Amino acid sequence: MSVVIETRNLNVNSGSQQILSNVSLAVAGSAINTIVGPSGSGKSTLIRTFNRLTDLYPRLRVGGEVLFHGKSVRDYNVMELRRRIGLVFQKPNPFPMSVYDNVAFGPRLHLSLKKAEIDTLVEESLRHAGLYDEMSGNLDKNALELSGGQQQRLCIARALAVQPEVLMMDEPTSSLDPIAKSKIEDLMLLLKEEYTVVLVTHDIDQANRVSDTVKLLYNGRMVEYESPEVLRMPEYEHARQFVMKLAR
Amino acid sequence: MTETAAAAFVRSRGKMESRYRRRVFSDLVVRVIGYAVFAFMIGLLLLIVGDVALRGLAGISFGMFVTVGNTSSGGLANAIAGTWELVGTGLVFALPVGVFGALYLSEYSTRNTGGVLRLFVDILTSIPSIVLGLFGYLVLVIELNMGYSLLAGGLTLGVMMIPYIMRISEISYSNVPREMREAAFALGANSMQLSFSLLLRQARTGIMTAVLLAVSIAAGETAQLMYTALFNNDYTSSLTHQPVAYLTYVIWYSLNQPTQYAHALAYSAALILVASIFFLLLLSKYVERGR
Amino acid sequence: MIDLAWNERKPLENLFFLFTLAMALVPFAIMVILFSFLIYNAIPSMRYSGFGFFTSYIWNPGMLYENPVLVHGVLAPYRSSFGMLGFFLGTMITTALALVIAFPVSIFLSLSLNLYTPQKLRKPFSVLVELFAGIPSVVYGLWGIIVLEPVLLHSIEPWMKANLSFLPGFSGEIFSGAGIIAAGLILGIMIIPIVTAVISESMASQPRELKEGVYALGGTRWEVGKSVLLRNTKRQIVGGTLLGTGRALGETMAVLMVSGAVVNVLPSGIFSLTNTMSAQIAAALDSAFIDATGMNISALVELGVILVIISLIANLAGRAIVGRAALRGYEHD
Repeated sequence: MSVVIETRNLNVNSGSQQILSNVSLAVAGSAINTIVGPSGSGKSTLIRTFNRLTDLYPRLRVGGEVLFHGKSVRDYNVMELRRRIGLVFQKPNPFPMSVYDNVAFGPRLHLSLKKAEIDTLVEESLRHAGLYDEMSGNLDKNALELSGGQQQRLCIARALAVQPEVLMMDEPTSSLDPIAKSKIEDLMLLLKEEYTVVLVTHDIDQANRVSDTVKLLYNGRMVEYESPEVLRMPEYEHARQFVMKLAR
Repeated sequence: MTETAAAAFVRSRGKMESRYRRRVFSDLVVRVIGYAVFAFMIGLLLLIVGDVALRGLAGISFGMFVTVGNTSSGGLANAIAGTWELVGTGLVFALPVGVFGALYLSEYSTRNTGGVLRLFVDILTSIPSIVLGLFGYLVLVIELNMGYSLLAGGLTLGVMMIPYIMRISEISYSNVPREMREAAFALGANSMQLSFSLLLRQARTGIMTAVLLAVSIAAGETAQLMYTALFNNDYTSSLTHQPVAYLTYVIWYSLNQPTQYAHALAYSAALILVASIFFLLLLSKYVERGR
Repeated sequence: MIDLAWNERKPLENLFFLFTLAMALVPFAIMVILFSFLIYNAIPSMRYSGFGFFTSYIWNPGMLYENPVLVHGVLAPYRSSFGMLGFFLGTMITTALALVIAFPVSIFLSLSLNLYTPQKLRKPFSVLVELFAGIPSVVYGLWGIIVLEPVLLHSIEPWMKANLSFLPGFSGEIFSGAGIIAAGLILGIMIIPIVTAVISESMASQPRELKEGVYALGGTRWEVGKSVLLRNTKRQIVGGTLLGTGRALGETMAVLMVSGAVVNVLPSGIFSLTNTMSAQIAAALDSAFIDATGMNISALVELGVILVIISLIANLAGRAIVGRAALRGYEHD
C-alpha cells in the first residue's frame, strides 16, 4: 500500500490552546482512511493541514511536517495542492447558483475550457457522485433547492470535477438523514477504487462500516487503539469507550 | 464510463500551471488596488482632519472659549454653549420617544403595525436636513409661534435624532433573551416591571451608544438650524423667541467674511466641533465594546 | 414579547402601554404634519408656476417692492418666475459624479477589508470609516473651499482642460474651482462611508462555508471575492449605493459652499458652476422672507417637496433592498 499523505510530529496551536500534539500518521492510497474521535478532538483541523486550509487562519500555527507524495505541502503551489486534495465539508455548502455551475466552478477556475468540455466534465462528475440520474434534466436548478443529501453529493461532484487524487470528507453525513447517509456511505466505497479517501467522523458505526484503516484522535493526540495506554489512563476514559465500540 | 474529459483535464496540467501565474497576478492587482484605495482614504482623512487641526490650532486662543462672538469678531463661547443647548433640547425630546417607542415596537407591536411604524421611521431618516429645517421654520417658528429659538432649533434636531435612538434601542431590547423575559414573568413581574427592571437595564449600553451617536451627528448639523435657531451674538437664556448661536453656523458664516480673524474663528470652531464629534464617536465605540 | 390581553393587565400597565404606543406614533405624527405643511405651503407655487416649474430654469424672486400681481388666483411678486430645472440638473449631475467616485472606491475598500486586511486591523479600520462619516457637512465645505478649490483651479482643472478636451463637456471656461467637479468630489467623499458600511457589512456576513468552499477548490482570494463576496452581495451593493444616492441628493451645506450656488444657469460642461435643490433652499430662504406675498417661500417649499420625493425613492428603495439581506439556504447561521 502506497503512502499518499504523511504527517510527522504535527503540532497546531491557536494562541495558548494546543489543538494537535505530535500527530504522526500515514494516509494509504486507494483506501478509506478514517479518523475518528469525539467532537473537539482536532479532526477537522488535522485534515485542513493537508490542503493548507489552515493558512486562512493566521492564528493557527502549524509545526512539524505534512508530506504529500513525500514532498512537503509547503512546497506545492497552494492552488495545485488544493486541486489535488479535495475537501467535502461537514455541512453541505453548495454555492448559491445552478447545479451545473456548482460542478463547473472548479474546472473553470483552473482551466479555460470549451462549453462541450465542461458539459462532459459536469456529467462525469455527477455520475461519479451518483447524482446524474436524479439531476440530468435539472442542471439549471438552483443548488439550494436540493435536499440535504443531494446537496452533499453535489458537493462531492464539485470536488471531483477538478480531478483530485485525494478526497477528504469532514463528517460528511453528520447533518443528513439515515437514507441520505447510507447513499453517501455506498458512494464512498465506490470512490475508493479511484481515489484516496480520508474520512473524518465521530460516528463509530460508520467508521466500522466503511473503513480500511482507522485512527483515533483524542484531545489532539493520535491514540493507537492497540496501545494499552488507552485502557489504563483515566483521562482516556472517553477514548476507551470509543475504542470498545470500535472493537465490537 | 468514459474518462475522456477527466483525462484531458489532468493532461492539461501545463496549461493549469501557466494559469496559476495569471491568477496570482490578478489577485495581486486587486490587492494592490484595494490597498491603494485604502491608503488614499486614510490619506484623505488625515488631510481633512490635519488641515482642520493645524489651521484650527494656529488660530485658536483661550479667550475664544470664554468670550461671546458674532462670527467676525469676539469668541466662540456663545456658539459652544448654544450647540450643546440645542443638542440637549433635542435629546430631551428624542430620548423618551426613541427609548419608549422602541419598547412598543419590540414588545407590543404586531408584525403589521410594527412594519408600518418602522416604515415611518425610515421615511423620517430619508428627509433631507434642509427640508427638516424648512419644516421647523414653517411649523415651529411660524405656526406654533416659537420664533427663532432654542426650542424650535432643538426640536428640529430632535426629529433627526429619533431614528438613531429608536433603531438601536429596539435592537437592544430584542437582544434580551427570551429565557430572561420568561424568568421575569415567572417571578410574577408584570409587563411594566419587566420593561423597567429587565429590558431598560439590559439595553442601557445600547441606548447609551445610540445617544452618543445621535448627539455626535446632531452637533454637526447646520441646515436644520439656519432657519430655526438662526444665530445669536450672545448667550441664549430663553427657550422661545430668542435665537441661538452654534458652531456650524460660525464655520459657514465666518468663511464668507473677508477678515483673517473670521477665518481663524471658522477653523477654531471646526476644530472644536470635529474634536468633540470624534470624542463622542470613539466613546460610543468604547461603550459598545464594554457590552 | 409581551402578549397579555388588555383586561389581564393592571390599569397602570395599560397606561404604560399607551405611553409607549404614543411614543412609537411620534415619527408617524411628525411625518403627517411635515407632509401636510409642506404640501399646503407648496400649493400657491403650484398654482402660480404650474408645469413651468419643471421646465424652466429661471428663478427670479420678482420685484418685491412693486405691487404684486394676481395670477391663477394667487398673489405673486411682479415679474417673479420659478423654475427648478437648473437645480434639478445640478442635483442629478453632482450626485451622479459622486456615485462615479464613491462606487468603485467603496467596492475596493470593502474587498480589501474583507479579503486582504488581517483580522486584527479590520475593527480599527471600520472605526476609521465611521469617523469619516462623523465629519460634519460644513467642515467638508470648509475644506472644499480652502484646500480643494485652489487645487482644482490651479492644477487639476487646467490639466483636464488641456488633456481631456476631446471629451464632450470638458471644454469651457474654468471659473473659481467651485462648481460641478468640486461638489461631486466632496459629495463622493461624503457618501463613501455609508456605501462602504453597507457593502462591507454584507460581505462580512457571507457564510464562512462558502468562502472555504472556493478556497478548497484551489481558488485565490480574489476568486473568493469575485465568486462569493461580489456575486452574492449584488443586492446590497445596489441597496447601499441607493442609500448613498439618497444622502447625496439631500446633502446641503457642503454643496452650498462649493457649488458656486448660481441661479438662472444651466450647466454647460464639467467646469460649470452649479447649484442643487437643497442648496438653493438654504441659500434663498433668507431673502424669500421679505416677499410679502409668500410666493418665494412657497416656491422653495415646492422645491423641497420634490427633493423629498426623489430622496425618499432612493432611500426607501435602498432600504428595501438591503433589508432582504440573508442568503437563502444559509439563514440559520
